[in-house]
Amino acid sequence: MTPAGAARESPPLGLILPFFLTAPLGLVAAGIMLVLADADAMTAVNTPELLAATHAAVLGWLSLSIMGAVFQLGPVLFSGRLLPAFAIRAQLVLHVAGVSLMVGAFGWWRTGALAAGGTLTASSFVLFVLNAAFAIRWFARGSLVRNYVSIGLGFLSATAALGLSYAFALYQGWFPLTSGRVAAHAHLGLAGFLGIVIMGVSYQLVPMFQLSPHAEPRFARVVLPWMAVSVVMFAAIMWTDPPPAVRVLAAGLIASGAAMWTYDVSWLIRRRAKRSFDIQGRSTLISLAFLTAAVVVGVLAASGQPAALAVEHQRLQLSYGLLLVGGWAGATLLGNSFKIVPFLVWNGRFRERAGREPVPTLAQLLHGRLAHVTLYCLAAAVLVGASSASIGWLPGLRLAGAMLSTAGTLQFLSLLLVAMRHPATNVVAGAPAKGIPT
Amino acid sequence: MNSTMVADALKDVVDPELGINIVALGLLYGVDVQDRTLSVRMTMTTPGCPMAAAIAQMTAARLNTIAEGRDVQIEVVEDPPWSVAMLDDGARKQLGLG
Repeated sequence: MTPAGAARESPPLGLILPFFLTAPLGLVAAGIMLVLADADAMTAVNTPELLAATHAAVLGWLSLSIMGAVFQLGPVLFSGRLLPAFAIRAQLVLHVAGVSLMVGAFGWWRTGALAAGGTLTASSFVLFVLNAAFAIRWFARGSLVRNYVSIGLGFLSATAALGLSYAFALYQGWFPLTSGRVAAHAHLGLAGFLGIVIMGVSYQLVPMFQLSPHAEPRFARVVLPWMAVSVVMFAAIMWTDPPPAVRVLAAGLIASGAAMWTYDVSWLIRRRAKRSFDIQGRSTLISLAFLTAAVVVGVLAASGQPAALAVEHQRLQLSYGLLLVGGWAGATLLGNSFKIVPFLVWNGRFRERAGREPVPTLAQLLHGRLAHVTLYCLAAAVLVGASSASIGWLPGLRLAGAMLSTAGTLQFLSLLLVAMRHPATNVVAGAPAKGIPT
Repeated sequence: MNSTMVADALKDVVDPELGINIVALGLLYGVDVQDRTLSVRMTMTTPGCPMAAAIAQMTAARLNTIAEGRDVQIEVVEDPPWSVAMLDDGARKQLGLG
């Protein structure tokens, strides 16, 4: 391996960083929408504010983070290549414009603007899937992680197509949008796209960051087909608005896949060599706790009969959504962003100096305390929001919204501070030139 | 120049993620010093490590400062895979392994 050859493997900092810096703004917007929620939010999950918040979080915050991660990790892990820079930049612009329009259209219920925003966002996803296919060398064989990401991209395509048809259905009155059909779309996106991609990437990143053994976890090859089939079955079943027993059965299949993956990741963490947890490790632990809670609440919500718990059905759905989107996917991607962005900045600005002069470690590029405050703020927001939703306490939901916006702002600031680190402002004077840094 | 001198020099190369030098981590598998070449065989802590290219580049940069005109060659291998047993005492302490 030559240094010149190695240098070609990572995409330019300026190309990928904007995805990570823009992503937290989606969380800020989602939080604001929850602050604006009215009492209807406690009786239905498809109110304008909740739909706006969900799409701001999923399409803005989480999807932009995944896009940045795929563009960064794809060429490095799979020796893939990216489309020309202008296509990546155009995709980001399309995505931000489309999602902003969609969130506004949901919030103020303008179906024409929703169709327009949906079209822009779907166009962005087409470009992303095309780009990602090259980045991960979609059709190459031999990588478990690539299989997860590839299948996840397939679900993204299905979710976007269905979502766009829903947007036009609302605008043109093509067909009624029942709660089952909304659930089908939501789970194609959450469990199919986000879930499968996060699960696959975690099989790579958790052992890498925690120094776990190279042995493959027990269910790593089972989870992907299990999740893929379960999500397709769930979406198909929910389209018909089935009775509770069928919903629970379908939800139970997805929950089983999530349980197997949780077992695997817990196994990797238990066998780690790096005993003390950093921000990514803590994020992973918190995300696993939220996933476990989301699975329990989700199955209860699917039963449609949580009356025994004195909780209304729709409130549990909202609670489930907060736990899954903000708690599991959010905490996971937040933790990973605090690893990937320092890596990007280090690779772009410090790598050429490394080996010849002292350079900071990745941890030294990140303001650790601010990153941890961000994580705990997000976790607290999800706890407050999910609890408040389940008991129907609107002020609590609004408080959670304010906390989510704060977490998004803190994440943005944390990543911006990393992005501003430059060799000229290197403050690690005293970093030893030899041996283990202190 | 001998292998020990090369290994000493490579203690300057610190894994940016872990903050521990590559010798203490046990990433260095072998050193071969010849009249015209300086070859290093090394591994990474995990297969497909995104830091692999950067660490190899850092290693090459450090070796070039001591190569005395030799051609520097670096081979990154995944077999045998890295394991915790390859850590030295300092690295074990740094990672909290006692």
